[in-house]
Amino acid sequence: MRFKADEIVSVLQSEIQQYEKKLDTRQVGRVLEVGDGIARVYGLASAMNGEMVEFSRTGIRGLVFNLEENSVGIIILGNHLAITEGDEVRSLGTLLEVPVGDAVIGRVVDPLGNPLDGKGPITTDKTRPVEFVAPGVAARQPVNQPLQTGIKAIDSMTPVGRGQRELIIGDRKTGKTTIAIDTIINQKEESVICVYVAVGQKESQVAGVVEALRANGAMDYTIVVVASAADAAPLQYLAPYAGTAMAEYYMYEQGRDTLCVYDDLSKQAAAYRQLSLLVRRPPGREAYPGDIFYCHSRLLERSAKLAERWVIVPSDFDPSKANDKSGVDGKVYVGPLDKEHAEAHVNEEKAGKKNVKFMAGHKVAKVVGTGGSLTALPIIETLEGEVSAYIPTNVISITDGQIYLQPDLFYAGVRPAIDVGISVSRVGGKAQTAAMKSIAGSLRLDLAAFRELEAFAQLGTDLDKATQSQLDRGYRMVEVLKQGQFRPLHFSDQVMIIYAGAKGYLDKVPRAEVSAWESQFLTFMREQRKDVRDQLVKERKLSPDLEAKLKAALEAFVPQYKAPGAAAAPAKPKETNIAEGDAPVKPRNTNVKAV
Amino acid sequence: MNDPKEHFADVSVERLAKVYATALLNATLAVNSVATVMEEIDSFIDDVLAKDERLDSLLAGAAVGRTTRAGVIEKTFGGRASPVFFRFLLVLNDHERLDLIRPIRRALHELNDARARRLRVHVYSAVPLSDEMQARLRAELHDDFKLEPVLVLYVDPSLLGGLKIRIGDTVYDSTVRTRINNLRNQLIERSSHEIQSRRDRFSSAE
Repeated sequence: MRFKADEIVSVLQSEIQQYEKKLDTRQVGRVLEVGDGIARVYGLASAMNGEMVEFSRTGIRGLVFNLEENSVGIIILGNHLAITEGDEVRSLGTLLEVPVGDAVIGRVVDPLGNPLDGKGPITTDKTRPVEFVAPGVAARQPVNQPLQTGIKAIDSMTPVGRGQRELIIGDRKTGKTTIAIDTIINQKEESVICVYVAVGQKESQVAGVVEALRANGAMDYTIVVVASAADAAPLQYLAPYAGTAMAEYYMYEQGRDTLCVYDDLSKQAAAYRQLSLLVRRPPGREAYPGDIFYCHSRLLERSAKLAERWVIVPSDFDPSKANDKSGVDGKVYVGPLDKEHAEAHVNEEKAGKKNVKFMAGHKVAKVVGTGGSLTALPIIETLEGEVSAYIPTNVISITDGQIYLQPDLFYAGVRPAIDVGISVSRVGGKAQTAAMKSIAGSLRLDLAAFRELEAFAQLGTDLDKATQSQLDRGYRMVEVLKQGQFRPLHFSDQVMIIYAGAKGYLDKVPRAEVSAWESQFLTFMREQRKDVRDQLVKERKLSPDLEAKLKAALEAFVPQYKAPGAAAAPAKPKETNIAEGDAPVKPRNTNVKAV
Repeated sequence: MNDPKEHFADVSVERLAKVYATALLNATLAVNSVATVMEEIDSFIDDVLAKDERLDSLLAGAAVGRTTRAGVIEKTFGGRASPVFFRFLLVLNDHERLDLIRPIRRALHELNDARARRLRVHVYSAVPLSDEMQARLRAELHDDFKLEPVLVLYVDPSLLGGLKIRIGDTVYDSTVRTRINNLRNQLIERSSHEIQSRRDRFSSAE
């Protein structure tokens, strides 16, 4: 590579020529004391809360955090060891902003937007403020589109909608991060921009996550924001806000769907507690400051499904140019209800019912850049399953549902270890695809009934045939809902396998073979009954016609199923297999006990 | 006024000092002896305390009791200092606040300036300012702020040239050093942005 010196010289020359001799006016203060990421500054009389400041000698930036009668508490966004007593601090009159846009996609950055992945500087002139007010009531619309996590147990029983906040909560090492990563990986074909915010985690763990995302091709649409355990508390506190700002760019300015994973907010709360105690704010419950709730609620309120805006345009109008002023009637129709009104106008016009004053032939077009969404998957780590601790209850009350992970289930081999009994999704059901809704409607109840029955069956009493078959079905459904790491499934595959389980096609398959049956069945559907799968993908609902086709496909597959190892050993009659594997009087099987 | 000990005072001390300074100023105004007391407090710090560090420890330390200190003050200042200042020292001694004398002096000067509509202006320059320059500066400051400026001059050769003026928390900086720094930062920032965004212009793959 050869450098063109004359070009570089010309840039420098023009910069020097354009340099303006401006009087440098600044508000200053002096550092009184400094420690653990906090500086107390005397002066800066006109500083505002949240304003950026600069330590003149070192160029390190800070953020005004506490305004006291005679001093200002500043959180230092850099190496606080380089700052000494008496240093001059100047206010910059700006808010903290981070770089956003396509230049940040695929990068690993710190909460200030500085690259950490060694891939060179981030070149973008787009920035957004780290703290941003959440959209108001008028700017939102109800969640109406599913965010496919690709995880059967979640998409069927605790579905997540775009714009929803769904908490993932559980003890350490129960697979919380895995669920989030699988969800990100599953967005590959969904055109959702993902942001993974790692707060207070081990760098090695973050490196593992980044590697997993890269290996699965997810870094093409993902931003990773890292404030590791080694970073100062201010950065850990700011990381979730910075990640949200990066996602908001796509939501507000491009109308895209985004997903933000906060891994995890309990560590952010601990960082905020540290900062608050250092600036001597009064400690409350568990020594958290009084505004710890607001710290999380203002973050999670920024997740939203923005209202789509619609305009009526001539039928030959290019929809990619639609803006608020494109409407032929001068109106903007906001939200799904208004869209129906707009469509009604157009239909009336077509039917000739309306006295139309404009040219015939109109259509409804979406204003470009509207209707974006930001889905949040906050993660909270509990101690010994204690969900009634301060931070977990706070975040549970803020979010629109939670996915609760149980260590017992995890160690019993049920992975993801979702406790379906207490996991809920408060708004996602409305966004679920019709096909999934129709087959998963009774799944939760069936599983709950199964668990009750299972406890009873463990007493070793003889069971009648109906009870026995209900138990068998339950065991099979638990097996169906198990899923490996980094293997998210398309919703159509989920629908088909859950349908098969719920309709009893798996009842005669030994429990240990359910997973093999599933993979063979899905391959069969993809290769030999592609039309059925394609129709399901297209229609997204189980019409009677489609259901009949699916049934026929299942009937055709059942005889084709080859048990693993069946070729090597002489196949035992299947009935015997089942009787051995599933007799309720058999000593308890930990595998299913805890479900 | 340039004592390094005074630069980074504790905020709570500042508040306390302001209380005493306000009281002292009001007491002096009542007997019309502001100038005298100001001169006495300056002299007490600059001529007496600055000369012998042991006096500092005598007044501030806990080694000597309140009564003994009162005796010393009476012996040394009784009849020599103005009655207001003498009694003020005794009050400070009674309250064990003699160590606050420096912050009190600064607060007193600030309060007195505010009362007299004077503006304390800290001027930093690379070379000492001539009288003519000072007069010009005073005139301009007076026009801008409609207050009587009191210049506090500092000489700092590292500024290279130009003036830096601090009024309260606001700094007006036109020194050569700051301009060079700004130019350097701007060059680095803009050029690196230009080079990053248009690499093909600056290099060829040969």
